[in-house]
Amino acid sequence: MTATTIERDLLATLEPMTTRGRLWVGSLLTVCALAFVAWTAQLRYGLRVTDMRNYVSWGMYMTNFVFFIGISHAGTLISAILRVTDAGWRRPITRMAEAITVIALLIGASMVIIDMGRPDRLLNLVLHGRLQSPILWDVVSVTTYLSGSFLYLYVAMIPDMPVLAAFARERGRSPRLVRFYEILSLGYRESPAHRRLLARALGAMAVIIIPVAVSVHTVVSWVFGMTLRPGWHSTIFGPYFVIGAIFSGTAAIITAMVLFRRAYHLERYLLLEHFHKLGKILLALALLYAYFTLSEYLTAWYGGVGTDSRLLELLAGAGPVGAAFWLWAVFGLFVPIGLLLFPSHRSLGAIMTASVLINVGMWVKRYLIIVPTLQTTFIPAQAAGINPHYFPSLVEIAITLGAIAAFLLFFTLFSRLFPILSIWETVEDAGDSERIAVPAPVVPSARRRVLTAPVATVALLLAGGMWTLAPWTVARAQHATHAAAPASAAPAAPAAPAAPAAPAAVQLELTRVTEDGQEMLLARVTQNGQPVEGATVAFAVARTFGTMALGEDQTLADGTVAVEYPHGLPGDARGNLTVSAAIRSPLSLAGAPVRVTIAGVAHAPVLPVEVPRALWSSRAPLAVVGTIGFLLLCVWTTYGFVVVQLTALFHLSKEN
Amino acid sequence: MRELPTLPMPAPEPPAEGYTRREALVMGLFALAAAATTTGCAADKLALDDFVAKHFKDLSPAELQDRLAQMEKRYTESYGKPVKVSATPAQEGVLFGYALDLSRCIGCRKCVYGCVEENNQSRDPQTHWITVLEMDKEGGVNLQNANAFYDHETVPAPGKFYMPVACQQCENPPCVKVCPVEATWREPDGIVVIDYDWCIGCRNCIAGCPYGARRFNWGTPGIPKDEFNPVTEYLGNRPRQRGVVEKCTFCIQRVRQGLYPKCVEVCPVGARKFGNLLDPESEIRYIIENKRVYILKEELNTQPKFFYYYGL
Repeated sequence: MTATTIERDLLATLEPMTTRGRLWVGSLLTVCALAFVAWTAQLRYGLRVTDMRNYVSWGMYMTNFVFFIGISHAGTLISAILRVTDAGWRRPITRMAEAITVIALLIGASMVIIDMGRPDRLLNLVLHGRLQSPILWDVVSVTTYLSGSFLYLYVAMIPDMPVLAAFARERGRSPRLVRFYEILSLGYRESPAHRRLLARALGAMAVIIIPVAVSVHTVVSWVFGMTLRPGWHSTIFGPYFVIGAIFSGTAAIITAMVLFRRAYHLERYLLLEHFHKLGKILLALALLYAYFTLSEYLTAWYGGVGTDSRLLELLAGAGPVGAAFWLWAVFGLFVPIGLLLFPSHRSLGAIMTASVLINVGMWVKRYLIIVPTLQTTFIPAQAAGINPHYFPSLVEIAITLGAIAAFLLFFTLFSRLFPILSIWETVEDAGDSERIAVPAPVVPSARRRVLTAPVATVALLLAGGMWTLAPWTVARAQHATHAAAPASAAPAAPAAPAAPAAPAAVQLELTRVTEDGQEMLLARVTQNGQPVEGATVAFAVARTFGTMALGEDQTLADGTVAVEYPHGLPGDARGNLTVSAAIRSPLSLAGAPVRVTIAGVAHAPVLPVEVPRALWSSRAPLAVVGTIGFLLLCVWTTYGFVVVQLTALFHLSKEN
Repeated sequence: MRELPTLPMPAPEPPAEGYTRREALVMGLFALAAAATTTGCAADKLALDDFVAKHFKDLSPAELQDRLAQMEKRYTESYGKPVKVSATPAQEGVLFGYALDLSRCIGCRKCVYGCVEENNQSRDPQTHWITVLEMDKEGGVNLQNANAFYDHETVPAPGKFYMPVACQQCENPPCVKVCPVEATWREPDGIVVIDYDWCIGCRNCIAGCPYGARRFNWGTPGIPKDEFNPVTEYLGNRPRQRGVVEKCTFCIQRVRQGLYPKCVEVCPVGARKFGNLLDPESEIRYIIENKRVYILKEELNTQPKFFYYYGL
């Protein structure tokens, strides 16, 4: 195969669409439109239109989220690992894998927004995010991954851009399209200097994207794993999800390869050998996933903790959940393993069947991870022994189908705009010395803009990344509204005269006096203006709820009775202490207590509102901030390095 | 602009006359965006105010007053009676605690409905903050075999005992830990509150709560005007919007004014006790120090401020 042939074959995917293609896109658009209608209904009536309720509060949307994020892994991880290990056979696979990553991530991230009760408050995640929340780890990690995989996809496409520009010009396509390709090419040409810069950028991206990809699915698992729920609160959840992601992702790549091979007649490029090699990887991952599944459920079963046992009864039991679980185990795991295990069976059809089964199966498995755990409630939801019901509503099903359609649609459109197989890498693979005839670079007139665009994008993303960190590192001002009221400065003056007690003729007065240097609470009982002797008066002081007795005594001849003022007893937040006195006997005089508020009393010191750095407080522990900050810095510095290479590449093109 | 005949971007419908396909597409997208915005906002005319509203803790005292006045106006209009919205701060030296006598509770669910009325919970769809569990006396406290949906002519049913469960106001709350936007937090007096104007409705707190105490507003809460309780608190019983989480706040609008929570008040058998845990003379302290106390899921180290005890 010569470079010219390869070029012609691979650019064929960009030829005008056939009727069949148009029908395909049209039907995908129809499904997307239906999903949009369903989503509008959900926005109008709330999540009530779903079947999620307070017990099963996450359902199909979260399943889709985990599923699509899982698919996205394939992509980049497989492509990056194969690139780093310099596996020659990777070449026809990488472009497709990288495109899957970007598209699946976009769809997956949007599923979370659809699941939110208040998508209009999405910005709160930036304005007031808490770094302790696994959801924020997801936000930061998915954003980083999305930016990285965009960059990775783009860097690996640069050498194809001049070819695409030439092709578009030759076919008389719109000058805008030609210009679009030219701008994206950064003036790349076949020269050792260009190659070196590109290799450097690509190498760095391939290395850094691997840990980023691993981190993403780990933190996706932690949204579940950090709760105390049975089946989620598991130490192997991170690696279990990562393996599951690569597993389903690899299956997705194989499926895509088969479909594109047939649709675009790429049989000369996507050879059976490629499928065999990917099939072996898929087999290894299937076994690994089976192993992880066994570890996960065996420990839970053997331990036999109440909630764990109930979850396993549900999963392995006779109900619909149990049926789904066993169907998954057989058709999503054992059958594919069987299909992939024996070399004699390893035909394209068998590999394709295994991949499709795994794809469907892994969606079911994610559903089985999320829903049955929520059905195994901590506090019983229904009559004893019955688990709360959940079955996706029509709206949820429509939106899910729409998500799948959107994924296929974006993928199709991508393949109409860019070659789905990397031309330059395929040429390289063919070992052909004839390089693709690259036309003289048309350096765009608006050079500055072209140069600044990627730099500005990355700078913005960087700023965004830093911004998400800011709110927790800066100590927030105290609760403005929670500052205690200033203590009253009023002196301890004799208290107000008492209200008349029943019967009207009886009067009870309560005052605070100083006798022989000792503060006392003095009550005076009078009847028709005459002091009453021998009446029992009870003194008390108000506490938050109810009262605390201070003592009781009988009145003297002058109608007075006194108890010691309760020194050291704190008042309320304003420094007020409410004391009361009531006549207990004779019953004929008894009535409602008389209350007096004394200001300027010592009160519990106004403690500053404690904002400890804890998982439940508003500020994250330094270890969390430090770890996340350091990881982000490493990743984004590498992205920056890649952008610097691209800038150098652009300058190089300009000089020549 | 020249049409792009070769770009593989078929429009779902033939482009309107006079527009190119791209223009039609862009216009379509704008129309969709507009539709989405209006459907989201139609339910609430003051959506824009809410949209730009600040986090409760970030409000200055003046801003808070404005916000409260705005809310009072809005709720007064919606419910046809003067509504008071306060933001009473926590008092120093107070840590609220709740005790429930398992040997007295008869499972009459008066607390459930008292709570619904006091705290303006949605009647349609029904939202209850308190779940009363029925268990066999023989089995003891065994939540696995509890029944939340018992339906007897009279209670208590023979051989059964009852355990009402609501928010346990944990000192180490798993729900607060996982909140991504600090829409829920623990107040200095121990009450875990929610800012309904800040919650994004991700429901991670519902997944995180081991007591199943949090409720989500799946639809727009419906409260009959004449049953609306007009004495409300910002972080408590003011009307909630669709798509946010709510839960028991120990009747924050009452206890911060020195009143008992509604469930304490309506309990016909005196099974519910409430008080200040920092007050050594309080009834709640007496109960904790002298009675057999049971803490729900104590092993989870959530450190609830809700204590079950056996009074008899």
